[in-house]
Amino acid sequence: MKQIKLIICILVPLILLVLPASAYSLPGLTIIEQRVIAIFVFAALSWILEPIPIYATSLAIILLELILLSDKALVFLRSDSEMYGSQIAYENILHTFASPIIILFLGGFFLAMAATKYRLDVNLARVLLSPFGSNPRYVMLGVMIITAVFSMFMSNTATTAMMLSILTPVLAMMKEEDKGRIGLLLSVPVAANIGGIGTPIGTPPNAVALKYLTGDHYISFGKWMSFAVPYVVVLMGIAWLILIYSFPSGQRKLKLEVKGHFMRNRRAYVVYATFILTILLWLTDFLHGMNSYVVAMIPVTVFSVSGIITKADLRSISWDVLWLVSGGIALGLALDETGLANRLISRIDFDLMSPLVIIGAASVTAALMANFMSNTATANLLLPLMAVVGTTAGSLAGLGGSTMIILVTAIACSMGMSLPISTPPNALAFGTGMITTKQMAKPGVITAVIGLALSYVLIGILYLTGFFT
Amino acid sequence: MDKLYVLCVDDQPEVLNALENDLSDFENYLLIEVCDSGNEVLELMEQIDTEGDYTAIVIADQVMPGMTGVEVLTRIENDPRFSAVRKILLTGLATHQDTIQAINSAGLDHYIQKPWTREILNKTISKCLTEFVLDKGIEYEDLLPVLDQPVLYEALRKKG
Amino acid sequence: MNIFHHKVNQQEFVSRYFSDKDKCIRLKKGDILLNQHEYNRRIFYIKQGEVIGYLPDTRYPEPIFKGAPGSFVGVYSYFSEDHLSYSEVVAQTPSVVHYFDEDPNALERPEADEFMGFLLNMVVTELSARQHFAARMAQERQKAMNKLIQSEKLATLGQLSAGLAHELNNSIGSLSANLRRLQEDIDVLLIRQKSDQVREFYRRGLEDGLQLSSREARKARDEWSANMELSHSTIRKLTKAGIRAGEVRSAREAEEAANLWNLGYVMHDMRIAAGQAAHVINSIKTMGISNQKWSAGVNVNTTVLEAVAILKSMSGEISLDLQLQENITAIEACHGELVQVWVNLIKNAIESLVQNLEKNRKIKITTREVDKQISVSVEDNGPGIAPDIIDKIYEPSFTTKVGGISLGLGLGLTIVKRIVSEHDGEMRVTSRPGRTRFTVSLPLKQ
Repeated sequence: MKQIKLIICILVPLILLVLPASAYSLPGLTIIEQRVIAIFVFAALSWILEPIPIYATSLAIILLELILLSDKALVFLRSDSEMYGSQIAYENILHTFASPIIILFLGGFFLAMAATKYRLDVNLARVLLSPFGSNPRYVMLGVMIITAVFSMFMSNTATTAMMLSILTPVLAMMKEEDKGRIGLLLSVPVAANIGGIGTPIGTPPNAVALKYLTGDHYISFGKWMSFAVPYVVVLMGIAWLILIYSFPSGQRKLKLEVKGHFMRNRRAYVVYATFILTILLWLTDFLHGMNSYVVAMIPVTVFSVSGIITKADLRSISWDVLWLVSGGIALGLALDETGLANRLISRIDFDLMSPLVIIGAASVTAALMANFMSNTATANLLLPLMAVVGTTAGSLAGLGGSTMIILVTAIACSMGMSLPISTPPNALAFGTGMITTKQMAKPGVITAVIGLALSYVLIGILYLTGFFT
Repeated sequence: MDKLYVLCVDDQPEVLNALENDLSDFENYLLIEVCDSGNEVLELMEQIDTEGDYTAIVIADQVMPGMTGVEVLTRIENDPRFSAVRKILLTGLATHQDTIQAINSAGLDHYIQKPWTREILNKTISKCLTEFVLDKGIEYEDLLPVLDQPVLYEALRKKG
Repeated sequence: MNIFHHKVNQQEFVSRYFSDKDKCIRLKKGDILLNQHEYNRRIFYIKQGEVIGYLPDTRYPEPIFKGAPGSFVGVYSYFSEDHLSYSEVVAQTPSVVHYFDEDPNALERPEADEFMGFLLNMVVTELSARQHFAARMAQERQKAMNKLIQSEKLATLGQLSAGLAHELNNSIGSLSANLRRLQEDIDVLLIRQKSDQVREFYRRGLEDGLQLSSREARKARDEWSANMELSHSTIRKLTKAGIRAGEVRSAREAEEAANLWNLGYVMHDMRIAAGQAAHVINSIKTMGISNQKWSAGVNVNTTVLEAVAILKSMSGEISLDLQLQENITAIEACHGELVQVWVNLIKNAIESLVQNLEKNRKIKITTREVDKQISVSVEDNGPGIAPDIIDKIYEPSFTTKVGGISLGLGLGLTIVKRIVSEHDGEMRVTSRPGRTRFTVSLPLKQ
């Protein structure tokens, strides 16, 4: 099975490579541009079929680009022909590994790692949970709020793992037939998935989106949060209502007990201070002029200098997530720098389509794909295309152009949360063996549909408030 | 995906059969093999290693002719290739001496008393498996249903 | 009064004071010479027979002194203030007793000195004799006590194991019966639902059980993995069952065959296990105190095999080498006690091996019939018994066990020795490092 998938992933792009350029109905298509198409198809196929790990696909993309597209490409593959097309500087391709977005994410990783190492996450959860009392509904709300807040700064997977370990003893005590148990368990991945939308570093698709929001379209950390957090609040409120009505708890009282105390030592204080400072700096770039990428280097440096993050910790960084994003960036880079994007723009007339149809089609496609494959890979594939569409379709220009369509698509990428395989948080919750796929799918689908609708409302409001201009 | 093996070793076929039956919940995720002597299990581990697969857990009975369980586990412990292998001693009658030796030189991870219950066996296997998977950095996603949740959660949380 | 100057020999003294024909009492066996608390002003001289002094008011009357011919009785009451006898004196055999009942103060001066002097000597002798007697009695009592404790221990142990055996017997009985029932039900179900061909696999598992070693089974896998799309676990079950690839037509049938064989095998295994449990319980029952009957026609080999069965779980990694002579002559013996002897000897051997963590631990058990004797030897290759303690091993309190894992099935070599001597047998031990052998020889009685 795996072999067949791998063969498809190699064979189809190979065929696209050897086809005569005339086979594509894109007049003036250069050899390099044709290669970009093949690479793109390879990326799409192997991210969808997953014959190899998704981060490996990213690395393969980068290598293929270096060999096939760069100015240092394999000599036999280069040509002086008029139809060869414009090469990409190899440095630009390699730079994707250290793109500012990657550094932003790395900053997020350092913050999260330091926080978990000094148990800031668990202790904050303990303090934040206490005001929610013992009514199961409000306990669930508390769990969701904390999960969402944490997943804005930590990875959704780590947040889910932490919250599930807090919930495990309570879940074990609840009766098996109590629907509230399913609801409580589901509330964690749902909140983690939604919460990730809240900040640029909350989930990789946001970071990929930032890549296309540069120059005039630049959105700062604070600006992102200014619209994303209210969106998260509303959607999570709705998700909470869905969960408490779908899975009412038979339990009168629910008490979550989290043991521990805040660590009090020099290093712990450094962690607390750096954590607060970094977030404040991210939110106040308009005051100090350092953008979020620059700020991201502060926790990285402070934690390394103070020995809070050690060499061993460095090795445990999820490089796969970073490289997955790099591959996406490289893919966008190839589309853009070879000129293929422009050729597509000039060739396909999106103007004929209603802007609403474009928005709808983009976001529904993203949400559907994200349900069956990695959210990040979905963003990697769709966002470069959306960037093209956004700049081409004149009809969209009035509604916010590429910024708008990219935001909608990025949010839609986080709506893939109905199946156990959709996201790691879902897989973890499903792994407890306490819920069925059906029980997970129902609130997942409803929340996603409402989430998409809300994203349209969001851009409507943003449009009306002049955000896009 | 890499293959993960659980090896059971005991000279009594009825014990092996009972172990095989009780471990059937793991069959879709792991390969279960039984051996009737210590030598055989060491050979099999060698073979598994050659094929590039992993021996994740060895469950050995203490009382066996030839090599005792503790002796088998000590050999495994002293082989750097198998340092991550989780070692479980199964016994009905262990002397103080056996126990001390098992902990000190065989690096025992767990001790299951005969007669065991399926529940305890499964829990132990799942915990040992999770530790092995995390230790070796093997992709855990496909194994999720048979992993020990709290152990996994803690490891994932630490990654931030 | 210098009494020591008047040395008179006893014969002279007796003939002088204890020969009056009128002052002679003849007692039959059981006649009372003196009652307890009786007023007495006589000294008795035992001429013939034997009297014994008791304290009759104690719960278990025990002799406090013994009067043999030549000894004096009633000395205490004769000299005491109140002249009351403290014991009851009874004739043990028909006896002849002479007595003296005069007031010593009434005697003439030289005679009185002589009399008193002799009496004093006599009293001292008597006192020391009685003290020795008391000491001996105490010793004997201690011995009897020990014996009692031992036999009580044995009795308790016997009762305990008999009770245990009884309880387990019921459970095992019900398990075996239900197992049979279950097997019949399964047979009926299979006949109704499965083809003969598939049922054959169940039968094989049930009747033959596991035939292949795990290594052989693993080798047989290749022929399957090439064949059908089967999961690893199904192939494992198939090869373990010894089912060949040619025997089934489809993957579905292969899976069914493997499962049915396993069902049969599990039943087979349970049957064997139930049988073994029943056998062990039976052996314990024959060993129990309540079942200690002597009979002619005891086969020594059978008793050895029973002992081995009882200790099977304990012997573990030790290899037991049984060399039993065939057609051994049956002897008159107590079956249960013989089993206990072997259990003790084998258990000692196991313990000496286990505790010393020897390599290649081995116990050899031999039975032989030579010269109208059956000799049974238990030999281990343990570290041996040190020469300085080899003489003490039969003492009840002797032990070399440190770990405290002895199960208490036997009570050590003391009991072994008692049982062996009850059978008119002999026991020998030879020991050097690497070879310790206990040999028990039992005579064949015609």
